[in-house]
Amino acid sequence: MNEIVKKRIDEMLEQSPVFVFMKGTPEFPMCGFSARAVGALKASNARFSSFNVLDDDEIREGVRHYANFPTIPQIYIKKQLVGGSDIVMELYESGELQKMVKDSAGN
Amino acid sequence: MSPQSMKERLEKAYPEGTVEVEDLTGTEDHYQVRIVAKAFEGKPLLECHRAVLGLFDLELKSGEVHALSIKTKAKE
Repeated sequence: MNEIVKKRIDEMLEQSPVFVFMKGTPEFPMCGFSARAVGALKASNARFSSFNVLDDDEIREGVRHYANFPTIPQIYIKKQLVGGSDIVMELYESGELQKMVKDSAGN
Repeated sequence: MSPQSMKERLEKAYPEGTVEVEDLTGTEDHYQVRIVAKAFEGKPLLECHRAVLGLFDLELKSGEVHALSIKTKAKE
């Protein structure tokens, strides 16, 4: 993938230990899957930053390749891809997400 | 993409497993799939989902499949 796009994504992931690439914003998600992922993070008391891929085609395409995962949303904790909305919901339902969020804020 | 062709592709990839495909909206572009296959045993969830999504890379990219919700399990 394009080095400039990769660098932009690297820099975004530095912004916050919990980061979401989504369609829309946490206040106004534009897709049901993005809404579910953000809902699970909010319910886990996560502080997170997000990026609306609908605003930027380069990033929208770039995140498909960045962590070899073809769908949006993508949730990262400490710069590592955790997964999409299905994985985040499963982790939330098992209580694992809350732990991961807490641990990521601790360091 | 039709539910049948999605199911066929999954069954080909996981011949020993059981595959359920649900067309969530009746429009053949929002799907939910559930796969129970030994191939997932001991693998991180991310890796399992990546493998399933990878089977539909072209369709996801073109938008032919707009949404694909996945459940993977190693056994019932």
